[in-house]
Amino acid sequence: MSTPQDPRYTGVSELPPYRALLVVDMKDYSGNAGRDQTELTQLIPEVMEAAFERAGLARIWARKTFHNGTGDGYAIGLPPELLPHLLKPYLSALQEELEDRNSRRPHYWNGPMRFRVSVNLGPIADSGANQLGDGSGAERVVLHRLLDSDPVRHLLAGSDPEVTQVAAIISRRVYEDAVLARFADDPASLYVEAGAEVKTYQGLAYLRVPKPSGDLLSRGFLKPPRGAESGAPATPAAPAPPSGGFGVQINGSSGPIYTGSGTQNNTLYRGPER
Amino acid sequence: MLQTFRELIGSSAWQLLLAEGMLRSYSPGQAILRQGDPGGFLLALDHGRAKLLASATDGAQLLLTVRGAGQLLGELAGDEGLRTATVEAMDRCTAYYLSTAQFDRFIAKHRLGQEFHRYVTGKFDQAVSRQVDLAHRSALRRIARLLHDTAVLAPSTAADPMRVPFTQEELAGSLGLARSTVADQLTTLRAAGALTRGPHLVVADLDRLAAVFRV
Repeated sequence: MSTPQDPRYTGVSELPPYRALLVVDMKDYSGNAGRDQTELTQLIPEVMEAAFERAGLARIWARKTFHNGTGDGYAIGLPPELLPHLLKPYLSALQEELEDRNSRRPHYWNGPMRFRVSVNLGPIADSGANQLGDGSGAERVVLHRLLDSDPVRHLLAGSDPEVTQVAAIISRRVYEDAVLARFADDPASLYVEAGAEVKTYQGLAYLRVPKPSGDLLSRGFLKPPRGAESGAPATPAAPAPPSGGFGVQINGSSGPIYTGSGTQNNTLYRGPER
Repeated sequence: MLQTFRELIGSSAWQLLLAEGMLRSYSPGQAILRQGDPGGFLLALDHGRAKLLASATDGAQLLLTVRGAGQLLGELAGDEGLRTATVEAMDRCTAYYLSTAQFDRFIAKHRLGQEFHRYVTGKFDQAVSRQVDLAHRSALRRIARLLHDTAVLAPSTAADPMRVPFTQEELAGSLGLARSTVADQLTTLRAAGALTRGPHLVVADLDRLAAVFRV
């Protein structure tokens, strides 16, 4: 006995159009008070757009073929030929835009605004009218799996929140088509290969941090931040650097120590031995 | 200042022109075109500033001028010619790449031959007037003009549009002046309130700066 099939899904079909896919997600969004979340939700696409302008790419933002808010993030689709510009100069422009805004952020924010970013490429349903269902497809799922994967989360958890504000993960396809083929004009050595595994997704991906700091410099991109392995919270109990003073972070044996003109902090947390 | 090609053909035609091209992004300091390279294509600069540099046989580099958004770069070389100057990005720049053949088709299709002719003539006039400047105008006027044009052309996204990203050495080398002369003239411009006081080159008052070379 055969199952009756929806005629929309029988027969050989054309591929949907290819799209360059970009999604950002704000770290610790839910750590902000509920009343501030609306403002932040609106701010996310505003920051993305401002970063396109900063990069001289205001016209790219205007060419997005679909866009959806994801609550604590925002996803857009673009014509595939624009893909390389999303890696360079966009990632650095986004880091700069966040630095700029964070340096004059309102006191009620729960720390600086930091973005995880994922970039992918593939055939995506797209009516061009931003309808429901637009932006769906297997590669869209991959886009979000990459965004939620541990390697890219570790990049933000293991770096200084006041310095590293963008951490990106790109799919193998993006790496091959834009980076290895040199369209992005970025040396391939700036990207670090990582295995990404989320739910049923398993695959190679590549990490890129425009402005690395902290453990990313001392231990590399791939080691989970201290504390993540032992089941402790992903962000170790790192104290915020003393505000208003000049501080230098020293990674002591008992966790980060901040020295400077502000308060001296020495956490009790002891990370696992290397 | 040189009228932009975008102003000459109007912004809707400019958009159509960009749509024919391929988007390129450049980092500050990156060469967009190199002197001596073959032609065959041109770029429509849509964002940021670029400086034009010509090297003499002895290796000295002379700054010819600064171009901003809405200008064409490299259209004079045509299909056969060579690049007469090096063009270097000063900001993050975006430009649209078109082959000479594509550009010629675009001009023919939209009947913009006259506008293009006027544009090229304008560039030629500008080059002549700069030669006159070089021979007959005071160092003060040449410096004032360069600083003024550079600030006016800054993209809106520049961290500080009034900041002129040249060092005194660059100014001296590029204008063919002694460094001490440049330093003296900058002191004069600061005293006149045209530039701010401080270690960087920052325009304080565009009108006062313009008054120096428009006399």
